[in-house]
Amino acid sequence: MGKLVEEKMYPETAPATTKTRSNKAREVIDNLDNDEYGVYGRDRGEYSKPTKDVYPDEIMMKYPYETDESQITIIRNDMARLKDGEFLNDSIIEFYMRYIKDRYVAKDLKTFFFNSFFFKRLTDKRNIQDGYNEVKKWSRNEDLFDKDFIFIPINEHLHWSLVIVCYPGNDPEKSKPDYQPQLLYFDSLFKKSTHDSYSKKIRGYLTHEWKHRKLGKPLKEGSEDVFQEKIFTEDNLPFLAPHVPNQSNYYDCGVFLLHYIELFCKAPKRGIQSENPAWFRTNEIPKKRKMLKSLIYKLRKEQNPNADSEEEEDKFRLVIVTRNPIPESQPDTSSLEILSSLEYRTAMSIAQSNGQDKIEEEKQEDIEEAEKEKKKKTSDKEDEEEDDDVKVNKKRVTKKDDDHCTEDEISFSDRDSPDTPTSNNNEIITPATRRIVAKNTDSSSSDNENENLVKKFESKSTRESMSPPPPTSQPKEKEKKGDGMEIDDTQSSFEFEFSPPPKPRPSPEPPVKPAAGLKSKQSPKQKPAEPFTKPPARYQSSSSSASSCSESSGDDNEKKKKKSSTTTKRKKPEPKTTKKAVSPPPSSESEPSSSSSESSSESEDDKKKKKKKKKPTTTIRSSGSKSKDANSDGDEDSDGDIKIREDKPPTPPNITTISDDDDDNNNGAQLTKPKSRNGKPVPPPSKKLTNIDLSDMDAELEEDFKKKK
Amino acid sequence: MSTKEEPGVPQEKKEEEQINLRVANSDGSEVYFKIKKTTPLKKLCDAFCQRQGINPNSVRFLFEGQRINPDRTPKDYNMENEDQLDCAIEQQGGSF
Repeated sequence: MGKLVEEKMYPETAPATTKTRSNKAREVIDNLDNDEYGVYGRDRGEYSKPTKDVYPDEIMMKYPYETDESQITIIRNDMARLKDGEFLNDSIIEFYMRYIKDRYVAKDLKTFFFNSFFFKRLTDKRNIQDGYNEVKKWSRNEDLFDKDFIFIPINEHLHWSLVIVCYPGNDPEKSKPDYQPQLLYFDSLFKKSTHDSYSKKIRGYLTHEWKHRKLGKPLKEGSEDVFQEKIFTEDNLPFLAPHVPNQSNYYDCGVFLLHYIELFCKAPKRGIQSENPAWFRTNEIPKKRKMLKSLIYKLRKEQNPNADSEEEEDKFRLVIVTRNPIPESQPDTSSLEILSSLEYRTAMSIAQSNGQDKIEEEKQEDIEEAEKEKKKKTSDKEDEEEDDDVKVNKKRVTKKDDDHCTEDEISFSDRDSPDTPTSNNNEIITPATRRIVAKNTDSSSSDNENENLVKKFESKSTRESMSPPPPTSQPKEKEKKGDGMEIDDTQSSFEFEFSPPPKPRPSPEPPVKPAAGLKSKQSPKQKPAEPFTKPPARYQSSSSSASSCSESSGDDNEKKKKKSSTTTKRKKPEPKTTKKAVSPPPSSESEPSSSSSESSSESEDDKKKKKKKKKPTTTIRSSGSKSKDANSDGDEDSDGDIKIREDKPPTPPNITTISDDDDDNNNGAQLTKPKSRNGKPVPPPSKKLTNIDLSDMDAELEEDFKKKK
Repeated sequence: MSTKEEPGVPQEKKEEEQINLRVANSDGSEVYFKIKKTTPLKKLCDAFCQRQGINPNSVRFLFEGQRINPDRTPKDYNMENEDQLDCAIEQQGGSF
């Protein structure tokens, strides 16, 4: 929703912020809010074109198309990697490597191409032995020492480079100069510091590979001689770094990598001896990007004659829209979760029987008991049907204590620490890939999940009156558990109502039931506002759950269900609450009156001052006073918040929610801002406000969350 | 249904046509999946991504170094009980 505004806004701000590298970059990632540097090639010319919505996971083409077992699928997201200034990703690298192998490698040349994950797997472990075990099977069907060239693309520290192992099986003393075993290192940045580590690891890999595949086996069939141990060293496998053309920018190394491979494969000997930096001209690199793009479109057209060709799509400004995950993925997971809950213990015991889980043995008794219970339950047909589906059991080294939970908990407990998604994200979030992450997480996940949240929450809060709307195919089991969860929902709802920001009120307030009733009544009207209000509730519930043990299980369920979404949610919605100490929708009528009296008196005296003081005063009150005051403050603050919200979703309902409150009038009288809010058409400045607020609050939010943890 | 039965799981009768697959994330965590040999791997991939909170577009699932086709089944790849799938996170590089 905010993006819509963003996009409209953009043309005005574009000239100041964009430095477009390419006029022809077609795809505009419009849901990327912070594309301030124009890395996605935005320019005003693009805006004259008609837009066309595309999905980020749309399949562009598959390669190789004929054999679909180890296909590489290029999706729409990958196409953005091919624009000028973008980093290539592993999919494109691997696709083109295989294309090269199929097209350009002479048939009498024996080559093997590892994919780009090989080296990472190999080197993830501390020592090369463990690393080798990770990739031992990767060459299962190949005899590496029979190859002429082995290509190992390396992705490390956001940089692509290439190692070619030449004639690894040859004996350096017996073979001709052109067929000497050696390691060739192609790096468009020519980092010398990495030479040693790369060469050592690859030699180590080859040594282990030799030991594993060759040692002790006959040289030829029927011969009595066997392979002797062979250790690859600098002497028998020297490391050379040919002087090759280098990149002059910070983004093209992936293209260079592909170009190295292609040229090398076309003329191997020249590659080996290419000590000249004039191997090729660097202006071939930008052409290569276009060539790759055209190639993908061409293959796409071949595979799907109905697909638009490159020229046809060039007529449009492609807008990548995020798919709403609810209808597709939600039902699936819910069924899976439940399956896991039912099958969790049995599966774990199975794992034990296979000797996989030693730690679990301690809890075997518990498990057996659980199995008995489970068998009773699983007697239902549903379960058997579900058995057809995937059953998930999580074995996590960090948390094993979850087994003590009740069965309901188990289903979610096994997905334990919510840290994992964030940590994953953190891994990705390195400075250079920030954009990408923003695309993947912020744009796609956060917004979708926000919507997700909204719908879920609506469905839950109104479950009594309404049937759960969004998850269309939600499995029956879910409803089973729903009983337990509904209670939690109500809890969370009123907790949230009365829950002022986490900071001011450390201990969860006793939920007031009448308020809950109010809430439930109001909720249908206030749908738009709820997305923002809801997340705080979750947090509140999380904090409270610690204190209230057994009942909190449902809350946990809720939380964990949305675990994936919570990470992003935390950032967006909470900030608002934390910063201004907001408990969004006014729950009780008495509170507004108190606040209104205070505020009105004050406001009449000092309207302008009040604006400035507003934040501090509210926070003080909330911290010092308890639920009612906090709520009243929350009302005032909520107006401030609502401004922000309004800007994002330009929907009337927000206003309605405000109007419901008595405070609204007061605030309107007090403050000039509310007018603008009511007037709605104040997007540009407010928009900036929103950005600032969000960014500021994100930090606060995260801190809060850490503290809670 | 499945011609190759895995006798390794004696506890339930159904297990004969099901296998346990281990999906190893790059952060070291592992998730076990019990899956029928004839169930498309897409279900497994989706479940894993959901569980880990990963964007499915940003990961690739590898079996013995090869990308798997989510539409294929464990049987197509001759997966056996306790086989491991690698979940690899998208790599990008441009060099700073």
